[in-house]
Amino acid sequence: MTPGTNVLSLKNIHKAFGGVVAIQDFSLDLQAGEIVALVGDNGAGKSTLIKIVSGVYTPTSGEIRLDGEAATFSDASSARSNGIEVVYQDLALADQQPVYMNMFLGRELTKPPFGLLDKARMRREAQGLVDELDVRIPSAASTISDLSGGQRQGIAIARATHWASKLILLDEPTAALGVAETARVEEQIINLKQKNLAILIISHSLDQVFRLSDRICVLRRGEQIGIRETASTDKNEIVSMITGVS
Amino acid sequence: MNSVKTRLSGLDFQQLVVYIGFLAIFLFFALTLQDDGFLTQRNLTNIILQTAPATIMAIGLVFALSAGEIDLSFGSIVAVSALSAAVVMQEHSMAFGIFAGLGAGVMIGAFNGLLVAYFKLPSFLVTLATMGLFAGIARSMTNLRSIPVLNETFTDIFGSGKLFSVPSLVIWTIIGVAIGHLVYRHTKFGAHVLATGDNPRAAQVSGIKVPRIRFYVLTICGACAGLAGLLYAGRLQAARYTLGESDLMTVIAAVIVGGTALKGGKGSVFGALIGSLMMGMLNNGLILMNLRVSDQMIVRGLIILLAVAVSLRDKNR
Repeated sequence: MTPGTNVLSLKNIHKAFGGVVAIQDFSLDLQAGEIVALVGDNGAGKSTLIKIVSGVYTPTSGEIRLDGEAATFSDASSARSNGIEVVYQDLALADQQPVYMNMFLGRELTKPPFGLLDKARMRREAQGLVDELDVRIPSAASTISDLSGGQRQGIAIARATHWASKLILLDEPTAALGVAETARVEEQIINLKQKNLAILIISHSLDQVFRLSDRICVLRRGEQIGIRETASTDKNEIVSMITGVS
Repeated sequence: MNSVKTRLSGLDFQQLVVYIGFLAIFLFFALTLQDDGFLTQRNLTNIILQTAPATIMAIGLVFALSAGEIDLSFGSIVAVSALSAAVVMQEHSMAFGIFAGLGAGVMIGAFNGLLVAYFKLPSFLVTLATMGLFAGIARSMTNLRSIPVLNETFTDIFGSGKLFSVPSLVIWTIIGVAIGHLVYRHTKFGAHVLATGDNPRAAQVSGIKVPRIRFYVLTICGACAGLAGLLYAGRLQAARYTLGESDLMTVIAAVIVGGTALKGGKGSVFGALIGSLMMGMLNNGLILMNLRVSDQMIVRGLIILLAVAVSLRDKNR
């Protein structure tokens, strides 16, 4: 992957639940090393869109291309095996398990000959990863419930980083965090860019969107209002696009 | 230093309380009952032999609770399994008897699992119902008669036999705990059981087949209860519908006191063993104290209440 290639392209995505249209005619190209923010009011269809890309929902019509090839994901596992990872708003961590087990949740490493868990290696690799991403936790053997909200989100992002080869979807990654913790997580997200991953982020905070993103895509009631280069727009324009009031 | 510290904090109070309780009860009986034969090797061995079936049931329950489910029906499964084995062995060889006993346990467990995992019914209600259902079936199987088990090979293997002068029930306990611990702590399956009980949604989005895990843990519970039924039949050389009837409270208490969380995500097979031995020691000591059966029940109930309260207290600090 080189910067500038389309990692993900969505073309004329349409999704309806029964008679209710959740997404109509959405198109977006996402490039490696690029952060695109998805903004809009509650119910605008942002989460639905994330779920379509992560394989939880199948679009009613439209085309998803991954690295230029048509992709259909039957479920979340197939999206994951294609290098797409999601960081959820509510973290999706198992609280009473240690950090390293969460890092490898569902993809545990085993060792021959009996296929038993290789806890030592998982712990070592998890430690290496949190060190590399500078997630400040006591140790990879710490239990999740002993960590702060920021540390937990750090773990969730580190996990996504470890497994994603193409695309990371972030759904309100800092919604539950304090100011300092938000800053740490934002640093982490910017670092992902250097790894040449494509990033799609949902955020309610326009300040955050302007700090992080390269482009901003606005949704209103399932409709794609427009895409702007972050550098050449301002908050007023985005707000009026979100609300429909100019 | 750092790793020692995390290791120590990992050994939390909930996991330790069972060992403290075990020692406290042991010391209490050792001091008060020293003239009544509590400390004799014979009596202590007896405690281990008597708790073997409960320990095996407890191992199954550790898996169910850790996955966020519960099994209340294992007592009834014990009776059905023991009776199935005994009835089949009246006409057929031991192998068929073992197959029938274990098979009954596995099938009832799988039935529970099917209803919970794929019909999405709560395990508490499903197993409450199957507890009654299979208690009734156990009664009707032989019209309340007890069935003798005369096959000596069977009673040796599952009851009074010895291997290198180690009683077979002790061997079953060791094998059960060793396999249980290994699967629980050192396999993918064990990790997925814990994740499912801890946060089913996280498990699901991580690609773990949550319904399958729920199905398996209840099937394991049934299989363990089936083995416990064979152990009862082997030790008592007979099967009766009352087998396992009184184990519900002691086994659940043993598992909870042993550090397994009622809500799932956390547990210990080894803790369940110690919890089970503690309950066995308690039964034994109360009998040696010459308490009436009614008083035994009251004291046992109170001590279990205390033990459970102490082991869970830490959670809401």
